Amino acid sequence: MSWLTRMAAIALKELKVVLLDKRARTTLILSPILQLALFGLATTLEVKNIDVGVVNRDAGIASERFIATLGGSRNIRSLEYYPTTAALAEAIEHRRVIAGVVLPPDLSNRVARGRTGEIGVLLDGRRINAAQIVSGYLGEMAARTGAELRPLPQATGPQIVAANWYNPNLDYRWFTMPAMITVITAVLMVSVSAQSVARERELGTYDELMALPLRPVEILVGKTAPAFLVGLVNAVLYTVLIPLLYGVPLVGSVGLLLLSIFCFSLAVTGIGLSISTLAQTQQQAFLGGFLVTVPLILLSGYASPIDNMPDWLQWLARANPLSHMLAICHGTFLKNWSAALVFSHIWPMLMVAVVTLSTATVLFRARSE
Amino acid sequence: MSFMRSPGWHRAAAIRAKEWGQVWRDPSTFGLVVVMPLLLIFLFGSAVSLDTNGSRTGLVDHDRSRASRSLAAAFADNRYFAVKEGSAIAPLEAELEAGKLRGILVIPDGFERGLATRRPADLQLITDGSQPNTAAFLTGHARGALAAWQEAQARERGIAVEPALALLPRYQYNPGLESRFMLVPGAIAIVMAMIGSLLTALIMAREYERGTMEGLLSTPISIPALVLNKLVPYFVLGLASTGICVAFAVFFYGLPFRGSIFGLFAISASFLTAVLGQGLLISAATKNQFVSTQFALLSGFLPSLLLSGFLFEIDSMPRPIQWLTYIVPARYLIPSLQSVFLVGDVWTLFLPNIAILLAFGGFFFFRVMRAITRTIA
Repeated sequence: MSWLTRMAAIALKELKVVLLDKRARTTLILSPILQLALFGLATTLEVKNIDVGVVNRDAGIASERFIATLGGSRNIRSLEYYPTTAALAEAIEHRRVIAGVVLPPDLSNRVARGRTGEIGVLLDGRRINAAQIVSGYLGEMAARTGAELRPLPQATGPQIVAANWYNPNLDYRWFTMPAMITVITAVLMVSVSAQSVARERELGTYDELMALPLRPVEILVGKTAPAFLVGLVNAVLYTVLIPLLYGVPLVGSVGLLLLSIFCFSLAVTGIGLSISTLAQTQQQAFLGGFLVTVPLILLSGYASPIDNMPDWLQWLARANPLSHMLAICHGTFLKNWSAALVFSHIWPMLMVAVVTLSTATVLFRARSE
Repeated sequence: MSFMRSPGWHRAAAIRAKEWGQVWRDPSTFGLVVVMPLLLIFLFGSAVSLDTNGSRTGLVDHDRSRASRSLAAAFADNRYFAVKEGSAIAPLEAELEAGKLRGILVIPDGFERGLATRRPADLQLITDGSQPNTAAFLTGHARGALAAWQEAQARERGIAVEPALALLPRYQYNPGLESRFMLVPGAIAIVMAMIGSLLTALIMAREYERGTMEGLLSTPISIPALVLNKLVPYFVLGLASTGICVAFAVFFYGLPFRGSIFGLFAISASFLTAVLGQGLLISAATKNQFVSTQFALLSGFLPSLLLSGFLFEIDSMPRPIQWLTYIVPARYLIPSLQSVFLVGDVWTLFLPNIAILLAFGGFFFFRVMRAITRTIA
């Protein structure tokens, strides 16, 4: 068992290097918790507290009713009145309001005559996603007010009753928080493991390392220890904190989640280690890690759904360990996934782990000989 | 020019030359300045998309009548849905759980009869709430598709009534509703933040780590002059990178560029001043490459991505987080940058933001000077 003690010794040495520095310790343990709080709360695609402009040139019942509906909306924070469409357009240009409605002089008159009153809407196309959601809100309010003014026979037909499974109120936090386990631990693990070999090379201690009575594989396994542990500890911490602090349910198997986190950590550490064996300096290691991490996050389905990507990028996303871990996080937290479903996402991560860890070993051995 | 022969000028030039050498010695700098901008613009241009089209939706028709078939066909033709029809709900539910379907629409038994007797049998839509954004879009699009179908049916039977109110939405500056137009300027902000805070923090921290900073400080040049001259190369790199980004965005992704080059220069230069100061402060405070990078990620990259308002609306965030965004420099860049592409030079918007960014830069430099002076003492 001497190889085990040798590996443990090098792992211990690596842990000391990373965790002995007080500031490094703080950034590795405190910052992930801070990030969970900050970025978890900030990332919402909901659109609330909006300011809407109004240009009212109609003095009748239709505009009065529509403005009352706008005023009663819980998504609208304030209504700003402007005398002309040009003034409204300027307010949008200066970002004072995100959208504005223009009620034409003949609005109530047209409604009274049984025709359709057309309300102009100007939206800020710079913030196109929020603008489209605001347009949806306004359309719904116009339809509701319109039905009060003149009931539609076709509207008395069947309606759609929606049931949102796994997240009845579509709370966006239930999506982001479990996703944080994937995103933040991946960022941490890549940045720590990418430094491991590169640091020795930059400081010139690489040759000393090679002179030790250890096989390259043993050194490499020892080197993965800090990144692996830091990632694992933070992921487990998140798994405990998210249900406690944010009330996100954890309905699935904790055991399966932990097993997945373990395999995910292997895959991500492997990626970081491969970068590290290629890098000559810490700067290269860090920038290399960054250049790899950002696409991994953006292709994981966290920033926007994989379904929306072009086909060839969807194929790439399937080889991304982050997209599988993200699916497992949501699957275990919200959906109570069966072992079979979880394993269908574990094996691609294991494949990545095998490929990246053996690449790192081969590169490391090639460079040490 | 007489000042060019003065010893101070020579010393400053020497510092700049040394810094340039240091920048180009490491090929990863090239990666950061050229490859990263192209990669990020590409990802935000092609991979990140908030346009939900063709959501895979299961459909179960329990009625199997003429009306229900016509409705199912309407959903199949709708561009927001990619319909997969099944005879029973259970197998589709399993696919919803696995994430292979985003929703299931169920047409109930007696749907057609309900239409005739005016006692409507409602449709059921099950969505995958684990993707809340897609689920909300799906429900909205399904309601829209049903309303359109009902109106077409009513018109066929000659009982349609025009709705009292209709909206005519017009999207200023972006009539094609391209989410790319919003995302690509955000990517440029991230590139600038990374070059400003990350590269600077990393390279300066290395000087501290290796002890060469003390050597520099002992050269006969004043500390402000030393610091400013050290920053020149990163400032130029940041601007060059911005130029690459803008060219790629305009020529490859077809973004309009309605402002002026001068306007772009003014807002980029003021933002770079702020983030370079930030990077400098991080390195002076940590003096360690690893800790610097972690800090730069935490205070530079992530806030620029998440708290700047380019991906997530600041007004929708909880109040304390909204306050926090006021100290994120990217918050003051994004609106100007989006405007210089899509609107033009909106100086009434640019100038206050430029002033705030320069104030950030001034504050950071002041702190750096104090930190360095303390080191010497």
